[in-house]
Parts: sequence; C-alpha cells; structure tokens
Amino acid sequence: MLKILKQGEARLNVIEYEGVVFLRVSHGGFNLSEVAPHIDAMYIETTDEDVINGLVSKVRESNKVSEYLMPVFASSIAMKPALETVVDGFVRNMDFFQAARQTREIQERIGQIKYSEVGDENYDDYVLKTLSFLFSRNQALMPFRKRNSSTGYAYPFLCNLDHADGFSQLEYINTAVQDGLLNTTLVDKVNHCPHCSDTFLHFRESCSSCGSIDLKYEDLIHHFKCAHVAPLSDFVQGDKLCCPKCDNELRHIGIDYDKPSEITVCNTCNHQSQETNMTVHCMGCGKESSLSELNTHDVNSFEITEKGIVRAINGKKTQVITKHKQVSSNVIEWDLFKLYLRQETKRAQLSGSPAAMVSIRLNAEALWELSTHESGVLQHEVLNILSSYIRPTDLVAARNIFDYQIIVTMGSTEYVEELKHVVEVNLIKLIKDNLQIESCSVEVFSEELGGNANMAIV
Amino acid sequence: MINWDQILPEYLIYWHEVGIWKFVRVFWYFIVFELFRYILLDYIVAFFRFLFRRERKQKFEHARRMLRMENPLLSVIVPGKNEGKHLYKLVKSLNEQTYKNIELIIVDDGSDDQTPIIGRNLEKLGMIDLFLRNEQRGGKASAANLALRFAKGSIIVHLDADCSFDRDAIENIVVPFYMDPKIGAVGGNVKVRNYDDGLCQRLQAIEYLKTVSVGRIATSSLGIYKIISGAFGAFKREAIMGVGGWDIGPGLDGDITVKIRKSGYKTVFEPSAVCLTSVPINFRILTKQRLRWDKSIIRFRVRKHRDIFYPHAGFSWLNFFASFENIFYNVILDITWWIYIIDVIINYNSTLHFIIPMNFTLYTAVAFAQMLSIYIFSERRNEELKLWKYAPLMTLYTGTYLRIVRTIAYVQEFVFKKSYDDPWNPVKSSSQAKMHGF
Ligand SMILES: [Zn+2]
Ligand SMILES: [Zn+2]
Ligand SMILES: [Zn+2]
Repeated sequence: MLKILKQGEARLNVIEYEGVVFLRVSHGGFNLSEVAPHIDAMYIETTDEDVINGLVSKVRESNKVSEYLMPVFASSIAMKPALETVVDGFVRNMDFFQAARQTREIQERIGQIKYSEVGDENYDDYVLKTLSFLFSRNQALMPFRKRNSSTGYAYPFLCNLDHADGFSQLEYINTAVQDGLLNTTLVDKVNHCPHCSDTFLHFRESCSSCGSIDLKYEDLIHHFKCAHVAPLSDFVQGDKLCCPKCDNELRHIGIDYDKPSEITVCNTCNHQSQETNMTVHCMGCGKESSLSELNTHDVNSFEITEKGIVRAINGKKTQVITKHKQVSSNVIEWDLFKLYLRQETKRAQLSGSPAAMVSIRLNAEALWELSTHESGVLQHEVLNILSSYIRPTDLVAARNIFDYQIIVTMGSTEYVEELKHVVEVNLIKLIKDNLQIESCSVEVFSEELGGNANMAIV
Repeated sequence: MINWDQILPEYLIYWHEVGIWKFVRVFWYFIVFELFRYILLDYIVAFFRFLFRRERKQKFEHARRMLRMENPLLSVIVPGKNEGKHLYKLVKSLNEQTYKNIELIIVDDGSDDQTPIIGRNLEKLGMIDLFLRNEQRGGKASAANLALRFAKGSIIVHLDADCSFDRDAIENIVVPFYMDPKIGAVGGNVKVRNYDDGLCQRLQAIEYLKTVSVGRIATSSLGIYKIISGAFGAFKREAIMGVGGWDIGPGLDGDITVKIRKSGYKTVFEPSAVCLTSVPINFRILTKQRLRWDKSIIRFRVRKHRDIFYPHAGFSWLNFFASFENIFYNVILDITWWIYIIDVIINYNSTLHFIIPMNFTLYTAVAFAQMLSIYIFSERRNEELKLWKYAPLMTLYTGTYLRIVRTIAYVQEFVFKKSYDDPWNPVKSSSQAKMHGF
C-alpha cells in the first residue's frame, strides 16, 4: 500500500509504505530535528550527487542516535558507484518494498542501542558514532574510490561527517582498531607524493642516462639462419622485413626469426639501453620523485568486533560510571588509578617492600544486555563490595562494567590470597542474586608490582 | 768399455740391434707426423723468432705508442648465459686494465638465474655501460651479434665472462692492429687458471701451453693462424662488420676467423695478451666439452668452408694451408693413427712387448722436448716449471685419451651430423642451420 500524505503547515512530502514513513526530499530545506520524530527514513529524489551528499551529511552529522542512524535511500535515477555505499539503497520505480524491509531491520538494531545521544568533542565520540552505524547496518566499512579524496578512497558514513576526509578519518578509526573495536582487511595500497602526500601521480619511464621521458621503444629481431640480431628498423624494407646481413626475407615469426627483447632509445641524448628509470610526477606539487621515494599507505576495510558491538550498544561505560557519586575514598577514577599504579610500581621497585595488583573480570554474557542505567548501578555495587574488603591504604577502580583492579600496598601474600577469595565469592553472589543470571564466572588474579612484571594496564 | 747390455733395458737393445730401417718402419707415424709438426716446426719458428726478436719488439713498442696516441674506444663485449656470478669479478678485472678507453657491453642470452638482476644492478652502478638481455635465448652467436650491433668502438674485444686478464692484456691484444693495417683480428693467449687444482687440470694446462701458447705462435708466424679463441679475441670493426658478425655455433670461434681471413684480412696471435680461464675439473666434463669442439672441426672446416680448397676468385694459398693444416693435424692424422695401430697389431704382433715401451719412451722424450719449447716461448715460464713432472702422462692424455674422444666426435658428426642436436644452441637456430647446410 502506497500513500502520499501532505503534512499541514510543515508541508512535508512523505510516502508511507506498509507502515514505514519515508520523507521525500529533493533539497535541504527542512529542519531535521522537527521532522525526525514523524518519519522512519528518508527518500531523496534528485540526480544531483552534491545534493544527495549534502542531505546525507545533514542526517549523519546529528548527535542524536535516532537521527544520524536514520536510513537514507535515493532514487535509482541517481545511481552511481560513488553513491552506492553512501546511501542505504536505491528505490526503483517508486517500489519501496526493499527499502521498507531494510528500514525495519535497521530500526530493530537501533532499538538495541542504550543511549540516545553521543558527544561531539573527541575521538571517542567519533568512534562510538561510527561503531553504532556499523552495528545498525550490520556491515563492514568498505572504502570506495573517490577522485578528489587525498587518498583516492573515501568511506561511507565517515565521508558525510564533518572533518571526514583522508588521513584525519583514519587517525581516529585506527585508535578504534588498536582498542580492538574494529578489525581490518587490506583492500588496496596507495602511493603518496613524499612532498605533499597527494595521490594524483603520473608514472612514466625516463632515460637512465639523461632523465628525458622522450623515449622510443623498438623490438629486437633475431634472424635464426644467420644469427643476426638488430632493432626492427634495420630489417624494414618497405612492407617487407629483410635481413641486412644475409639479404634473406623474414617471412614467419617463430620459424625464421623471433623478437627476443626490446631496446629503448632516448630521443634526447640517443642513449640506447634496456634499462629505464621510472619517475613519478606529482600533479599536486609538480615535483619529481623516484618509485622508492614514494610513501605507501594501506587502505583497509573495517569490520566491527564483538567488543565493538558491546561498545556500540552500551556506549562509553567508563564515562557512565564517573558520573556516579563516589562510593568511598579509596575508589578512584580509572585515569587516576593508572597514575597511582605507575607510582606504586616505582615505589615498590625502589623500596623493595611488596605491593600487588589484583585484577577482577566479570564473565557474563548477560551483562552486555544491561541498559546504561542498569550497568551503572551494577558497577556501583561492585565497587561498593570491593571497597568494603580492602584496607584504607589500598585503591580500587573500574575500567568498565567488566573489569576492575585493586592496588594492594604493602600486603602480604596471605592477605592477597584471602582478598582474592572473598572478592570472587561475593561478586558471584551479587550477580546471581540481583540479576538472576546462572552462567557467570568471576576471574580474579594477582601480580606482584615492581618485580619483573611490567605494568599490567593494557 | 761400457757394457750397454747391463745398463739399458732390453727393449732399447732390441731396437738398437734391429737397425734404423726397421725402427722407421715400425714408428713411421711418430717420425713422419709427430716429430715434424710438434718438435721441429716449433724449434724452427723459435729460432727465427729469436733471430728477429729485437726487430719485433721495436715494432711492437712503436705500435703501442701509436695506439696510445690515438686512444680509440674499445668495445668489450661479453655474451653468455647464466654468467651473472662472474660479472662482478670480470668488471673488477677490467677496471685494472692499463688501457682505459673501454666500453663494456654484457649480453644475457635468456639466463634463468640471477644474471638479469646482477647485470641491471651493475649497469645502474655504472660498472657496465650496457646490459642487454634477450628474454628468449638465441644462442651464443646471436648474443654476440646483438652486442656488436650496439658497440660503438672501432675495435671489438670479445671475452668470456669467466675469464680474467693480465693487466696489460687488453692493450696488448689491440697493439697488432697498429703493426699491420691488413690485420683484421687478433687472438689472445688463453692459459689455464686452475692448473694447480688437480691432475685433469694440469694435463689440460700443458695441452693449452702446447697447442695455444706455442702452437699458435708457430701458426701465426707462418701466417696460417686460424682459431681466435672465443675467450679472448679482438676484431677490427670493419672486418667483423664486413662478414656480418658471428654465424651459428658451435665452433664459432674458428668460423669467424676463417670468414675474416676469407674476406682478405690477416689474423694473428698475440702471446703477450694473456687471459686465464678455468678448465673442466674432471674427465667427464672434459669429454663432453671436447666432443663439442671436435665436431665443429668437421662442420666448419670440412663442410661449411670447403670452398677454401677449390680454386676460385677468392682463393688464397695461406687460407688453403691454414685449413689444410687444421684438417690434416686433426682429421687426417686421427684416421692415420688408427691405420698405424692396425698396422702394428697385424704386422708386429709378436714384438709388441718391445714396441709399446719404446713408444712410451719416444713420446715421453717428445713431451719433455715440448716442455722445453714451452719454456722458451712462455712469458711466465718459472710458474710453469711445476708442470714438468706431469709431462710423461701427456702420452696417455693427448696420445690416447684425446684421440679416442676425437674419433668418437668425428664419427658422430660425419655420419649423424650430431652437432645440430647440441643443446648448446636453441632448437630454432639449429634446425634452420641444418636446413641451409651450415
Ligand atoms: Zn637520454
Ligand atoms: Zn639473416
Ligand atoms: Zn606532491
């Protein structure tokens, strides 16, 4: 069923197909946050690539999850390779069947996301936005060829974000790769000018003697019968090939002659050789380089990892917890904890008095499904329990809802072992009692600080 | 009074008693051929060279001054397959040469090893002037012709990559061009580098000294020098261009010399242009090498250049003798030797126990006579002194081993034209050559 509605004052042009409402637009003259609550997806009807990109950017640049993840379709009249991955799909002959189905799938995934907004200050926000997009689309981030990009490639989604081109995109995406949120697959290698990083390069052969690019290539001919070898031009007599040594006509390649190789003659300095140099002329800055001077860059596609999916659904856990009120004086923030850990390690090394770190990890699938609020409460409870068993000189911090660490200063081995035991028993009890989860475990392990072991913060 | 019966072995007394005519009758082969060719001729030539030594030296020095004044560009061309491993050493050895105006052209004839990489590298470093590669192998002649096509020098020096050279070798090999403008090609003096490594090498070293160093001085002095070694030879540009460069091998060294002589130039040997080469290290490899060389004699002297023996416009007595000498001392002597063996076996069956030791005694005496002539001619005679003790074995080496190999080669080539099947040339070239009767 296809219904075309006109919405009163806003004069919205929408198309409803089996309960999915598409906003039909051909230019950017509307307020996204006003219309977003009324629509499920956007349908762009224009052939102008810039207009399509502009509209997609308008959507993707929003900080609201419901807006920046909104499915966007374009009319098939605008179908171009460069747009294929920028929009979610193309609509052919006003047939919205496929678009509606895709929209519902995307919406279902958006529904699992436990936050409604992302920040726009730092890399983490950018990473989260990208992760949530990849999660909602259930797709890898595949680069597509883009002429005016400095790498020659651009990524869908990223290319519609603010400062999202070439290297700057890759910088924060690579931090996500390092954090294990994304995996990479090599797609291409791109050469860059060593002077200006441009990828618009001309490769050409040049004379190994004078550097001129004015070269002539000639086949060499070997006349089997008399063993004469010379460039083709020595043999040409009108339409025929005639051997200058023995005056016989060359009739049949492979039978009485062949072409064993090629020779290059420089038209500038007349140097004859089979060796030419490859020089690279940068169309950006105009400078010449040799092949070996070029910088090479990997172009990857990015796939979201399990860890990335957890992050995409739950948002930034560590930030959630810091918003909670302090549990006790020896519960500190993660960044601060890392600082203390470093200090304590040095102290232990110098003084020789023992110190240890206890790491705790909650292993429960179900924790992934907690909402932002619920995980905040859980983390709070865990920290409460931990702080009640440690001594006033010890410190505890949460890295996220799964991982916690304790610095035990001046603790004996017996004390550490006992602490580990109590912590494990109590945390399992907490999870099983409060969350009705059967399959869960708590890993607790310790290491000595200041010994041979390196610092255990990852 | 000395009692000879007690001092001398029985066979010597026997030959003493039967008289001179019986001796000549039994050892006719030795007296007629070996003694004359390898002993008398060498000493006659040595005598005349000794008489004119001062004159020759003056002429040589004058020519050397002319060469240095003119300082022409020499193109050193090195065709070969899978010779990459030798190239660096070769380049180093050429850098040491007293003559400096050299361009070095290496042709890689379809190598299937590291040669192209090594060659391109040396070219990039400026150690080779031109490195040419035939992706498809064309045989040694075509590789040499390719180098020739791109050579710019007025004199072309052809080398093998696995050779090394005395510091003045390149200079000395081109000096003769300034002694006589009719000289079109000069052959270098090839000696054995690894002569001290084993018996096989030592025997070859003596053989090289005998046939190359001394033998070629003799033929060159008589004006009938006919094999410019592929390992080291120099050609006047117009002479080699005039004959269209090399034709299909094997044996192209001898072939190009004959072609140049036929076109009216003189060819000479220059003993002071010394080049060292490594020879086969065992008899199996040596046999293979000699079979190939010996077949080429049949193919080129007897078959391809038989017109030398016919009276025609370009007939030259010197060329006639050059080829005749070559065929005579190789093919005819070989056949005669077998006749001689049969003659002895049939007619003197009962006295073989006197004949065989006498034969060895004669050949050993000849071997030492030859060592003496080598000593007279050689420019590094003292180093070669340590070869003297191996001289007696030369009877078995040249007298028996090489003769048998040669006979096998001749039979194969005469009867089956085997050399066309030699894997040394690609099939495409050989089949063309066979079809056209080269
Ligand atoms: Zn040039
Ligand atoms: Zn031809
Ligand atoms: Zn540039």
